[in-house]
Amino acid sequence: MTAMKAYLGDLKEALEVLPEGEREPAFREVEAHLHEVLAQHGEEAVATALDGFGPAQLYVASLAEAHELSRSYASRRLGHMLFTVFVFAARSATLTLAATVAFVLAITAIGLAGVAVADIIAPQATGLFTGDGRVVYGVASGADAPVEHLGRWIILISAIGSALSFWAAFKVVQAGVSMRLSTLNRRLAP
Amino acid sequence: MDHGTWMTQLRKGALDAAVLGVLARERRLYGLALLDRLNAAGLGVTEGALYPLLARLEKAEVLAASWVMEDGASHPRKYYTLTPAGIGLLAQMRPSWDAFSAQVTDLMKERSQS
Repeated sequence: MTAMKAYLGDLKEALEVLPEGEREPAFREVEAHLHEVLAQHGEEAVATALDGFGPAQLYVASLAEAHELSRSYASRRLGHMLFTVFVFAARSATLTLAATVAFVLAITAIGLAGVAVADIIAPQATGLFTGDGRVVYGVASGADAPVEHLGRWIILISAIGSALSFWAAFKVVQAGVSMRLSTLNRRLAP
Repeated sequence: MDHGTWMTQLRKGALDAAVLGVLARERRLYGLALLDRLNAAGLGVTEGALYPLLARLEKAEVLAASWVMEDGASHPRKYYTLTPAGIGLLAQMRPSWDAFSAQVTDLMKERSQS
């Protein structure tokens, strides 16, 4: 009974990675199974059943990732892919790092795209400015604005920069998720 | 790959069909009863393989499930039944399985004779 309680405790914790609506039914099913095994076959059979479920985290992984998440990711739908990334990121240091790098790159890309748009709206105030010990890449205005050096190249540089940042962010996340999926598949292989 | 690995993969690949087949015969079963039937047939199925499969088949609407609290029971049981889609899928699987297994049997015979 102690082993069963401990397993159910581990399972409850491992199920945190699933969407809220799926946790309780998944938990109830394992709990009901173990009680059924205990009632029908006795305590020794519970140990066999616990072995059959495998470690709680791996069981939850096979329940969620092997089917739903890998399919979600393969669907290439942005919402599903982001869901996959968030679920994996909760338990993978590699993917947490990848998602962080991707987030920074995505913010950079958005910033650069914003500069490109600003250059169209206010070309005189947008560019790479240097002088007075300051460097400003973007929008600068006012009497104390530094001297502009890169006005006419800014759209091209920002467009290329944002495209490269988006591409890099996508590749970083894709590599992180692929690594996680292949690790999972290796663990699930017989 | 050794024989044990090959058998595990074979069982894993055929488990969907076996689950549908058992449920078609028994009409409705809960998890442990289903596991016992599969293992009595020598499939060597574990809980860790069966329940994720049941969840997948339920999501695909091939199976339907409902919790039932029976008299005198301390816990409710989750009973699985085939949906009309599941019955249709099994009807498609049967001839495919027959044809596939016959082809593989033929190929293996030819190889052992040559």
